[in-house]
Amino acid sequence: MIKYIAKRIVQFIPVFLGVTLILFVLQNVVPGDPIKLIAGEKKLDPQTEISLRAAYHLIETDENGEPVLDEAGNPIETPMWKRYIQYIGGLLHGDLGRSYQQNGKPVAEILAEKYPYTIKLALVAIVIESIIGIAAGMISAIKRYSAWDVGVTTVTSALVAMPAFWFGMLQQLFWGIFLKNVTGGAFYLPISGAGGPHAEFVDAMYYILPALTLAAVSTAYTARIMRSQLLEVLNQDYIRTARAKGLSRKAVIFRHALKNALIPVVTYIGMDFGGMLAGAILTETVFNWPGVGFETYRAITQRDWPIVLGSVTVIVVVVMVINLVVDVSYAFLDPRIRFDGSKSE
Amino acid sequence: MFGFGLKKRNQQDLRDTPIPEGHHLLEVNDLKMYFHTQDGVVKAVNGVSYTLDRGETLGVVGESGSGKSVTSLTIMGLIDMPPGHVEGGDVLYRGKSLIGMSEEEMESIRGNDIAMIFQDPMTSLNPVYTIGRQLSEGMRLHKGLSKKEALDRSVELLRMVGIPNPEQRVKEYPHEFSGGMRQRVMIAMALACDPDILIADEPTTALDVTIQAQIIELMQEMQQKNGNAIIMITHDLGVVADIADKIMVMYAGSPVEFGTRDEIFYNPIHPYTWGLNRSIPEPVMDEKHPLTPIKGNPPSLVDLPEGCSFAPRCPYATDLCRSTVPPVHTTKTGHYAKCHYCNDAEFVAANAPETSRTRAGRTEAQKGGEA
Amino acid sequence: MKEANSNNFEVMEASEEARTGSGSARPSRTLWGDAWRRLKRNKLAIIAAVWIIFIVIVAVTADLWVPQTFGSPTEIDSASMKSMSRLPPSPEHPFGTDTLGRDVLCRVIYGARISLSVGILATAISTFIGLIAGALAAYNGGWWDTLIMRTADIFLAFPYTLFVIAMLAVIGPGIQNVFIAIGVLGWPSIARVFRSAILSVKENDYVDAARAMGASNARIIIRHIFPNSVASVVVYATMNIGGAILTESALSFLGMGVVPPNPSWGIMIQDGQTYLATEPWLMIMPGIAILTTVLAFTLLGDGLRDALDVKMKDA
Repeated sequence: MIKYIAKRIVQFIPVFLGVTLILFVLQNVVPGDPIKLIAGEKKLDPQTEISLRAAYHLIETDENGEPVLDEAGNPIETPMWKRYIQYIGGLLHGDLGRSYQQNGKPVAEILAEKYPYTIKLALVAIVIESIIGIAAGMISAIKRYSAWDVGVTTVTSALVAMPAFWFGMLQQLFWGIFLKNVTGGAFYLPISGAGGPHAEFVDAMYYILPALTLAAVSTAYTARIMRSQLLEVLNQDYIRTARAKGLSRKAVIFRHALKNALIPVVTYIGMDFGGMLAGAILTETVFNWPGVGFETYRAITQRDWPIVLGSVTVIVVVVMVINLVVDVSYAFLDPRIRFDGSKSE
Repeated sequence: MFGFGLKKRNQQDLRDTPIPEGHHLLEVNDLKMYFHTQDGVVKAVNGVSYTLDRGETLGVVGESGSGKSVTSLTIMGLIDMPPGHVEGGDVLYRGKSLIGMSEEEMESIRGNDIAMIFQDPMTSLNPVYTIGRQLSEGMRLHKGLSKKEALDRSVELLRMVGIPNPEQRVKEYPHEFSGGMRQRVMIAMALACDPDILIADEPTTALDVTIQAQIIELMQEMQQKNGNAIIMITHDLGVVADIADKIMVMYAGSPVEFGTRDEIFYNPIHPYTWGLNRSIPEPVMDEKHPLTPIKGNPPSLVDLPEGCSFAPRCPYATDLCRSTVPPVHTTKTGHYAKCHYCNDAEFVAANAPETSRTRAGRTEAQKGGEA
Repeated sequence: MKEANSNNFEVMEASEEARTGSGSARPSRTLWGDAWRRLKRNKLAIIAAVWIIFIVIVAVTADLWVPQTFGSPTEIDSASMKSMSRLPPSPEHPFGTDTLGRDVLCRVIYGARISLSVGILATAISTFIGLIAGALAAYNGGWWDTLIMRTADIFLAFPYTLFVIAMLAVIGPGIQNVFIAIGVLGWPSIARVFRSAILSVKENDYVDAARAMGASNARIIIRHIFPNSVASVVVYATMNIGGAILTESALSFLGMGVVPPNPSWGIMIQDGQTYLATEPWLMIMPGIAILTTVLAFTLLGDGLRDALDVKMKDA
């Protein structure tokens, strides 16, 4: 098993470097001189410009952060490779650069303020996804070809074929607007915002629609994977062996089939946490949810690229780390990997 | 991880009830199992009959698709219905019909009174549970043993089937066992509750030749100890040559010949059995005794040919064969065959294969006659 | 049941024999002939295909009849704008009108042009790059394989939509850039699918046989490997078109994709959001257009997968 884990970690390093290289390149080929974007219409005096360039790591600086000047008294532009190393170093220290707006506030700080909202929402969505997805898929597989199964297949097909943001708007339309009109304002779900100042879970009402929207596509996939996995497992020889032992159908499903079928499903759900962070951009935009996604959308509209790329960077790194953790924990779930170190697919 | 369904059922083991007068341990009467599929009705088992007593071994021989596995899965009640449907016939275990039994009653028989082992030991064990856990399950279910008792008994069983270091092995997972070892585990699992009948569906097909003999030997040894009956399903007539008391040859869902081992080997009367006999490699092979395969493929079970289903491949087929389903001809000893011409002694004598086995049989028979 | 299955299997083997034409009475059929026969029996796939053909015809011929019937999809008639603004669906305007007085059905039809062209072109770009990369990796093996597949891993480590957003942040919005971003970033999945398809075909005896008979590499690829691995790529590409349409709608919704006044479905939904409470059809109609189109490509892909007997992982 140690061999397997070591192998995964070794495989992780080049992917990490490659991903950060791509992000770095994206960050540095953004059209236009960043300093000009920051300045906007204002004219900068040379001294401010140099200190800005130093702050954005565009020119060489000494230990005190003072710009290093060449013989002619001009600042020295930092070469790309050095900037990449600085960028990786910064990344490892949680430095994601500075916003072009908001007085050059560090991106990491901005994102840190917004992340709790996004993570809480993602957690609620993961719970919805796990419970509804697994249960729906299981019942579908056990009662194959029943009305339930047809229903689940139809609904999941539709969910993966519609844009999640549109689904969110339909939810708003029904649970918020339609219900409010029908009940004369007595009962409806909030369609925007996060409730109290810190989006505590006590404001549960505010979570329902955004979490459902965020979970929709993932839940559909979970149900489909669960269904197909369980059907596949139920066709295996060892299920027949268990039946031949005299176990009831129910006992066979719960004692023998479920664990085998759940291994890939749990893997999917684990990896999907990262997908939720990514999907948050659309969901949070629709629901004005004050998280990272909404901040990213805001930054897109205002061309504040460091925030966009910073948030992409964080999400990508989180996704990679989660995938690594899921991959490694696979070894604990599946005894076959514990020993021969290869994932049989 | 889930505490489902391992409590002992409050049912008397059928095994302890005496066999009623005039009945055998297991009786299969004209059993018909059809599958209703989109493409039509698959007549997987089409009129199978035999009897079996304790201590006996029945060999069921046939090509894949001949219905030999479906027959035993039907006995075990392991066919999904639908698409399967018992179209007729009955299976009596100790005089009690298994076909009409409730699912719950069947569950108390499965793995307890009648146990089964399957062809591929590599896929027949659940990869995510330890051997000990899988072995214990049946005993906890049928004998009401505690976890601890069942595990102790599992160690004993593993030792009995010749697995070294069983205390350690019981904690291991299936993929840590070789194919032969896994089949031993399967046998241990099947014998855990001391069944009346052990059904072995091609137990050696997936194994190395050297291991095959060991597994067969092990099954025989266990049979001598426990007195259980064995149904050995195989496509290889050679496998049952040494161990079966009776042999049923199946073709396209029906038995074409049934008799004692000696009758099937030394005095076969159905052309298909001849074909099988000819396709067993001979010690000496020459022009006179070539290894002759049976030409063609088995028919589709959806669309059986009119008349005798073997007729399209039978070198002796006549118009009668192609138009009329042959009747069953039974001899005094219970040896029967389904062929229009099998009671024609001249036809049989002229066409039955001359193999080392038949020669040996004839010599022995003559000796017996002289003595 | 097992017996019955193995029986089916034999029947299929027999048809394989028939295909290669070695001594069987059955008429010889091609892989695609067989697939077509199976596809025809799949009602959902046929409905999906008919729907796709219908949308394509409507989108392609739009210029000939739509502006004449419903007016221009982009231009605003400032004189009648106010009186025409956000009218509910009526016989004259089946999907109603938008804030600027433009017919919604007309814009949905023109939106189909954008969605379909993004879906098809982006998939074509991904498929082209993916095929070359996959073929190079699978056929050459060794360093090629490592390099290409590691690069694919790196690309796949990004959540796809996010990667496209980051890319568009760099190259800027606009329809060409949407093609490029979705297309270029989509290659790794196709490369993987094609690579594994080639590898599994390469294992087959007939490829060894061809090599033993002295066939050249190019000949082996073109004559033997390509036809046998292209099935999985066709299936994958069909499903990919739906995915690209969804991505485009999300990008346009965020304001990073197609630029107004072009009538992208994503933009129309974004516009409709403001009037959700009062004129919901503004966002419902383009959403239904996306849903049905994407669903049609998915169902057709499913049908093709079953018909061509391509093994794929779920999801």
